[in-house]
Amino acid sequence: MNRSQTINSRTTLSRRKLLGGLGALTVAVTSPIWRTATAFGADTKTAGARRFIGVFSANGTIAKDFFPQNVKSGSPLTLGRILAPLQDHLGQLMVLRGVHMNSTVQNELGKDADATEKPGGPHMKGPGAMLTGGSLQAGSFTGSGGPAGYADRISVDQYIAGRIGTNTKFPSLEFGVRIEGQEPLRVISYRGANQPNIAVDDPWQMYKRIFANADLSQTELAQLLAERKSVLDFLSADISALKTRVASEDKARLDAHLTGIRTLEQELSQTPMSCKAPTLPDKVDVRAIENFPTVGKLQMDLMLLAHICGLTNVSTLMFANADSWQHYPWVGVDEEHHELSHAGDDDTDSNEKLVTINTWHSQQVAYMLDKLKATPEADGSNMLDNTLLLWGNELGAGNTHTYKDIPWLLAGGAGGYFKMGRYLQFKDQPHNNLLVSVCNAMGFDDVNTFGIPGVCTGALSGLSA
Amino acid sequence: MPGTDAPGTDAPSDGASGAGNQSPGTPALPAFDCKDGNVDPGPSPMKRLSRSQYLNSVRDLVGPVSGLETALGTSTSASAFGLIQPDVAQVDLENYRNAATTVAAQIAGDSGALKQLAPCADGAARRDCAKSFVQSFASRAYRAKVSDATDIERHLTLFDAGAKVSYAHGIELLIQGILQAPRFLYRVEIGTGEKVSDTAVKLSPDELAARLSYSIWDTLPDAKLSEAAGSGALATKEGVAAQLDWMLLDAKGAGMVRRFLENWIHLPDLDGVTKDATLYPEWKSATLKASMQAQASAFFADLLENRGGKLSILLTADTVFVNHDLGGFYGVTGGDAFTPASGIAGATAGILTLPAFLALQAKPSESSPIYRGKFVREQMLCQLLPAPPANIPKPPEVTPGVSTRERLAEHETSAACSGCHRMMDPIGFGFENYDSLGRYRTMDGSATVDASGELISTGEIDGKFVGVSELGQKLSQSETVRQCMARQWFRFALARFEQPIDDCSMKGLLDAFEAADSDLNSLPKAIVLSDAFQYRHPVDSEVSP
Repeated sequence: MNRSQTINSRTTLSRRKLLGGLGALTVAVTSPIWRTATAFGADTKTAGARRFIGVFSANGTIAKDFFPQNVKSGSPLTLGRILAPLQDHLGQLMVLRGVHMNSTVQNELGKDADATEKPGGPHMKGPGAMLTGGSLQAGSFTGSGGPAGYADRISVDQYIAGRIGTNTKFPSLEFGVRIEGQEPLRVISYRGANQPNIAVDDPWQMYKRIFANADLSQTELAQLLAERKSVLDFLSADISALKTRVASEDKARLDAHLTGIRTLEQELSQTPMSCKAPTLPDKVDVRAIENFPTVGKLQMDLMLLAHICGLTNVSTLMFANADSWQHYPWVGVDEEHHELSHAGDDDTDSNEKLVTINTWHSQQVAYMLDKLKATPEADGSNMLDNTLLLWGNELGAGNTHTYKDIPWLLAGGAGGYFKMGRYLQFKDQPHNNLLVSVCNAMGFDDVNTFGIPGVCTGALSGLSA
Repeated sequence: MPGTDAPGTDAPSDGASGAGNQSPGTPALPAFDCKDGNVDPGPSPMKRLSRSQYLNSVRDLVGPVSGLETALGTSTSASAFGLIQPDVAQVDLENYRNAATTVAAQIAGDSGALKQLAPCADGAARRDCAKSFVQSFASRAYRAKVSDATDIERHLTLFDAGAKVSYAHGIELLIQGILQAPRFLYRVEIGTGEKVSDTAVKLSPDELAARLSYSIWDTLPDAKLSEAAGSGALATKEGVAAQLDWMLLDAKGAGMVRRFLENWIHLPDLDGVTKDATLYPEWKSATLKASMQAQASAFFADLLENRGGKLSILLTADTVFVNHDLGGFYGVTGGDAFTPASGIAGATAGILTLPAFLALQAKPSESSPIYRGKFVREQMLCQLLPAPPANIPKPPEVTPGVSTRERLAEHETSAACSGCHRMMDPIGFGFENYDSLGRYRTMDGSATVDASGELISTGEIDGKFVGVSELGQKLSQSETVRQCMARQWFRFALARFEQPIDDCSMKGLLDAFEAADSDLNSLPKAIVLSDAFQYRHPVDSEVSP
């Protein structure tokens, strides 16, 4: 190959394909990829990879329509109106009641904390605690009570990613749908204290991350990867040199930066994906209220494709920020969710609307479960069999701002660890215990505490098969 | 209000509490306690460039780059004034990579730009040309001279990797690397060995130049400022402050105080504010929000340029800027350009009656005495309010036709609510003449507006008032408000909270502000002359975590 040809090849790569090549791709997200998809990379001898998906929706629930009524703990699951859309997956669901986010109000000793020890309003504390089992640091964010900062420790999705995410292109991916307003309402995933994993709520941006360079030839890709490696090597060396000169608090920030650079390296070292990149429809305004379902569908599709294509085994999806002021005109509720959620228990009209909103969210979860179930693994199981999906909320109920009785739904086969298809009612268990159970289900038997140690008392009892 | 945070509330993430914010009930802010001769600049942690600083810096390094904003993505949403600095997120790193790749590709693909940034004469050794490029470009990008041989050689490994293809490609990889290096992305400061006190060392001239340029211009130093740094002109406090004489005249610097005021009221966030489409169809107008933002900016510019920058005028001006979009707000016909008008009903208290401010501090379908009162309490008086309780009682049912004020009456009668809400609601009631969009009104639904309010726990301005004009008058006479402005300015200019350790810096700032008869234009020089701006803690004195 002579010199000018090489230049041309590089020029083509960086100008047309790398930066503007999305138009060249062919398969629509809505295409038959779902029917033909087989989980990537597994051979028939090995079970499918364990996967974790965390889902968030906002402003609490309507308890009488979410939890089964007049049923004993341990009974076979029956679905109230909100969860009715999940009927097809009844045998792979578990609903938990009596599991509270005590970490938002209790201190390291497991005692009720002074308000100053637990900064932030209830809508702020919820997303910070949901997957971390921790609480918020002090800080200057307000707008929904406050002030407060970001959460104070690692979230369970990131803990899982740290243990099983090293052989996929992305240790984890964080998706959102119209996550607006101000921190920390927009974050459920944390790599550590003051390390928010900010979700991307634009599917077109997310697409570029996930399927970047999918249309490059092997030669082009090899050149690109080699060059990126050079840049990352340079950055690692540069950071190491800089670290020797700066103050210790700055060293810690550079360490966090370096960890991120190593993760970028991981993206390079993984086998290129075998999936063909889909094509997104024409861009819509992701900030517009009315596009919420459209954007939500695209984000779910991209997230599930990322799992199916073997690009990640861990993801989270936030349907709106905590304290959400989203309207739901497509199901006839053209009012602000948060305002509605303050209605009293005897305001039947508003409560009906809240049931409608939560039922719509349950339909979205059903959609994800449908797609996972339709994806066969190489060993004959389907992807849902190996997935654990945890759906939570920042509050139990909007009108009391309670951190108690969070509407927890566990879904999927979780590799057979949980005995699904049941309703379990606990007596005032901290949700830290649920997070321990999640870790156990993901195969980490050695985990016996999660989040604030004084709050956690060990795995929830009676979950496993 | 959705979408805001509060630079006014004071709780640094390290848990150390700022000096100023008092619990409800404490009358006013304590005076700054400065012991003579105590030079302590306070902490100066490394800060990541804000989105605007990143974009401005790249623009100043290489000129406009098409597609840069898209490539940079939108994930980073820092706190106002950059007061909370989370560690870098994975998606940020990917965005930085994409942005750097975009910049580098444009330069490498444009022979004119390449020749200008990384010239290489025919016959010259290309690696030597690349070395010169590193010395010039990286020095500008890092705001610090790159002269160490190991450092340069480390950069040249990038050139070597790319130069297998071509010279241009070698430069391209260098640009990719430099724009992703922490010395570009963070404002790195190390200081010098020159001690000012046990807890303070002088900054290097380059570090001072970077502090000046990012504080005043929101971007990196230009050639003239770098030259001043190189010539020793920044060796003294006075020398540093003297740079302001020309920096503030530069187009980039002229808007510094205006930028502060805009960010203080969260003006950029107006873009994302949603209003009830049925009640306020005009909110869908393609230009209304931009006009409201421009109106606020025009008011600030007029205040600073023509009205002596007086704090009292900020709070009491009856001049309002009107264009075609906003004419309807005041019952007049506006033209294409903004023109000042005065004596208009409802436009009587400067910043407090700006529609942009009022619309930001309101609900989608109604006013919000809570948000508005909270802003005054936290942002103008710098007094901290605790969070709402975890389990609030159920709110009263909404009865149609009942005024906002009547609905909030519950807050006064419920003991659980009144502790905090009496700090906010009675102030906010003074704003009830303004609806969700910030338009003047005399009726709320079927009720006549009652705009009587009360200030408590403010010290010297406690008492009842009627309407926002009287509120503005009271605030304009308050020592607490003056001190709070000095605190807000400190937070804006240094992107961190003031702490007790900063009391000498704060006292100097406040004294200068008061000596200038509360002229906001005096603030840039006052902060530059402070110990907090001039010095830093010695690196070796930092305590390991």
